[in-house]
Parts: sequence; C-alpha cells; structure tokens
Amino acid sequence: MEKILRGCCGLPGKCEGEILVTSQPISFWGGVDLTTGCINDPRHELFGQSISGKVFAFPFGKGSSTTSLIILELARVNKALAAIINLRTEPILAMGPIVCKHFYGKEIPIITLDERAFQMLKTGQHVMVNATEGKVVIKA
Amino acid sequence: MHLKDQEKKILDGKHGEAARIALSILVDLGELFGAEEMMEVSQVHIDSSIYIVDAGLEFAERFAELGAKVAVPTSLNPSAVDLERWKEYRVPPELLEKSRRMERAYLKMGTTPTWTCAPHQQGMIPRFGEQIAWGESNAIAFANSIIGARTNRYGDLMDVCASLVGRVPRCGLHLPINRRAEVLIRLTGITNEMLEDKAIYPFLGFLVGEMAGDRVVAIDGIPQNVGIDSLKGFSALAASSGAVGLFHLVGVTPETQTLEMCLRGIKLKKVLEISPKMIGMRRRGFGQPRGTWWISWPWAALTFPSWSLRNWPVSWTAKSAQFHCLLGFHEPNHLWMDQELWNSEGSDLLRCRGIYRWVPNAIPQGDMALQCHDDQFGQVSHLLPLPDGTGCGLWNSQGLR
Repeated sequence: MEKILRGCCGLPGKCEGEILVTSQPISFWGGVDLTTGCINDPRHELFGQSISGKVFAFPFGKGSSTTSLIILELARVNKALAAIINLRTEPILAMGPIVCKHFYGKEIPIITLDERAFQMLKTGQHVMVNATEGKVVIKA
Repeated sequence: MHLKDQEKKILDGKHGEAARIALSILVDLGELFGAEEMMEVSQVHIDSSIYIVDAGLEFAERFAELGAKVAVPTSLNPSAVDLERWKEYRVPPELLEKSRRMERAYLKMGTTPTWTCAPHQQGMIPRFGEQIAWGESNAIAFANSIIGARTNRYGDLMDVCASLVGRVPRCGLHLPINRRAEVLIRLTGITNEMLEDKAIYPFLGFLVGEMAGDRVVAIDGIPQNVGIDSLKGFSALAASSGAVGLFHLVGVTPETQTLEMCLRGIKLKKVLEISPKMIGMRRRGFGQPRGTWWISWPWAALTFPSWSLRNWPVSWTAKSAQFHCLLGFHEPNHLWMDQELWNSEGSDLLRCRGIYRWVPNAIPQGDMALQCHDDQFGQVSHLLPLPDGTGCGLWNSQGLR
C-alpha cells in the first residue's frame, strides 16, 4: 500500500528510486568517497554504503563548507545521489544540487519533512519524490 | 522573491553571462530558504580557491572564460600547493598544473590572493554587524560569533556567486531574529585552572559542535579573559563537529554580554551541560588514528587560526601531546610564517618528534592527517597520533616508526 508523506519543497524536481536512511548527520567532505559515492567515514552508521543513484534521507549536513563541491563532483562523474530528504536543509548543502542544475543540467530534488514523517522512511523502501509538489510517496 | 530593477537587469543578462548565472543560482537558493529579497554584502571570502576536485576547476574556469569580475573585495582560501616553492616540496605535476589553473581563473576574476583559511587575521577583518558572505566554516563561526559580523555558512561555489554580484539572499544569520540562542550549554565542574589550559578549548568547541548540530547555542562558563587564539580553536572545532555558524559565549562575545542579550525574550528550548568527564572522553577519542576528525577541513584549519605570531603555543605542545601534529602543518604561500615557525622555540620540540619540514599542503587527503617529508626514509610520511594518545608518530608505508 502506498503511503504519502507531505513536506516542503527545497529544490523542485521529481525522481523515483531506492532510499537510504540515516538518523545521523553527515559530512560529505571526507565522509563520502568521490569516485564511488560510498560513505567512507568509519564512524558513520552507513559506512561502506553507496549514496550514488539513491534517494538519501539524513537529518542535516555537518562539517565543512566543501559539501557543495563534493555533491557537484559526484554529479560530474555520474555518481550523484538521486534526491535529498532532510529535516532541515542548510545553504551549504543545497548549493550542490542548485549548481548541478545550472552547470550540468542535472536535477537533484530536495524535500524537507517533519520528524514524524521522516521516521516513516526505512532504508530499502522504493519511494517517489516529488519535491515540486512537496510529497514523498512510499511505494513498498 | 521580490527583485530590484538592478537585479532584474542582471538576470536579463545585461551585466554579462557570468553575473546572470551567478545571480540565478543565488535566487534559487533564496527561494529555497524563503528569502523575500536579495541584499548587498560588503566583502566575500572564497573557500573554493583550493583545487579539490575537477568540478571546482571547471566551475572556476567557466566563469573566468565568461569574463566574470568580482563586484566587492574578495579574499581567497589557500591554494592546494605552494605556488612558489613547488619544486622544493616535490609537488606532483598534475596537482601543480591544476592549482595554477585555479589561481589564474580566480585572479582573472579580480580576487585578492590572500591564500588563507583565516581571513579574520589577514587584513580583511569585518566589523561588528557588517553584512558579509564568507565561505570556510571555521572562519564563518569566528566572524559571526567572536566578531559579530553577519554571514550565513556559505558553501563552496556560493561564495563565488556572491562575489560576482555582491549580493546574497536576505535570510538566515543575516537577520537578527535568527541569531538568538535556542540552546544553553553550561560548563559544570570545570575549574578555572582547567580553563587556563589552552588545549581545552578545541575540545570544548568539538563538544559544543556535537551538541549544537545546526542550532545557535549559548555557552555559559567561558572566562572573560579567554585568549583570541583559544577562541579560534574553539570556533574551528565547533564548526567541524557540527553545522555551527554562530555560537554565543556569555560575557565574552559581543552579542551576549549577558545571557538575556542572546535570548531576547524567547524561551530556551534546552539546557545542556559539559562536564570534565566528557572532555576527558573526547581527549582519549582523539588518540585514534582514523576517522573524519582527521580529514575534515576545519580540523585542518585549526592549525593556523589557533596560532599567531604573538603566541607560539610552547606550553600547549608540552601539555597536550596529541596537538603536536597540528603544529607540523601550515598554509602554503606564507613565507613570513614559515620563517617564524622555524625560528620559534617550539620548533625544537617538533624536531625531536621527527618533523623535518613544514608541509606545504594545507589539505590532508584521504585518511592522512598530516604529511611530513621524511628525510630518513626519503618518502612522505603521515603524522598521526599514537593509539594510546600519548603523542604522535610518523607512519609510512611500512607502518609506524
């Protein structure tokens, strides 16, 4: 049965795919491998898992202001994530997907959910993200 | 978003393609954060000047080719390599070539080659209340918190766009209403004697960053006579372990001479504590040789901001062995600093521990914290803390030596 979660549009766009969920914030700079898109911070609970092509749900970013560049580079080498779901999105994080749009014509939608909705997300679910309309549909 | 006539002209391309793209990106960003309009900033610090990935180089060169010019005074973060003494430091040719291309692109745009991640001690120091757009997380935390200037945490690329149009969306920490503290952190059981040890401040900053996440916090208990270098270390680590753009130190920082000043009528959502036990645990944790602490940029940036000519931390190194590693590491392209480092008393301590030269590369790559040119082995070694936390060791392909 489908479940529809309502949120706020961060950056318009839609996509569909598998979701990777974490309750821990993430630092992209130093936390994600640039050639594989795998999380390489041994302290992170998703250590070793790839964000490439996934809808990535994490509460918020942390750490260096290089985050946006890392997201852009992942797009350049075709290892970009498909969409971002946050509790809160800060500018440093949003800039990556925005520049992807203007420089590489690549859409990485961003949507923010409240905590209750965020907790409905589980790794491995198939989801449809429609940031433009501010909704996430859990397919299975 | 409501745009002024001037901004509409920029979006129509009347000021060139580079300005049009830059403003389009900033408007998207403003829409995302619900900004109603754009606002002018007086200066920009660009974090993106260092070569890290090809996407950053493509970005800079594309703007430069389009004839981009900065609209306000703009300083630069370090280059990846020493652009003058690359031969001496055996800089890999590809890295040198890409770094030079970065340099050419940014200088063509009219930026000032300051090559520092601590613009707050390099001449372009903003005043209290000044609206600025800075990249580089440690500098952002310092400018907002210690000086009381106003900037959001601008990421790479965003800083460049802001410099090209001299504008940012009016939102976030540019607005006084968002600068109020939501969380109070009290130092509990931490004695004045403990707070006299400068080595404690980076750990306090780290703990504050972890507790704050991305919220504005107030910290009560920092002594009023705390040194500026301690505050640089505190800022750098708070911005490293959390998404901290602004914190208030009650009685110390300008927006918080009293706790009420940074609350301004709102009720605190949470009161948290930092105890001596928490600091002890954190210190032991730093003895582990792997992990993001070693590779995140603000962590690296701690070195230089924490150190200044007037205050070479000899006692710091003696008291806190695990910080030796930080001192063997500096920003390239600062000849004066290189000389001062070797002329200082502390350099003997470092020589004893096997540091033969300062490393010209300001960025630790992968899991290597710091690099040393290890003359004995004729290869690059990485300086990492010993697992037992008692000091640092040089690691190379043969392991610890």
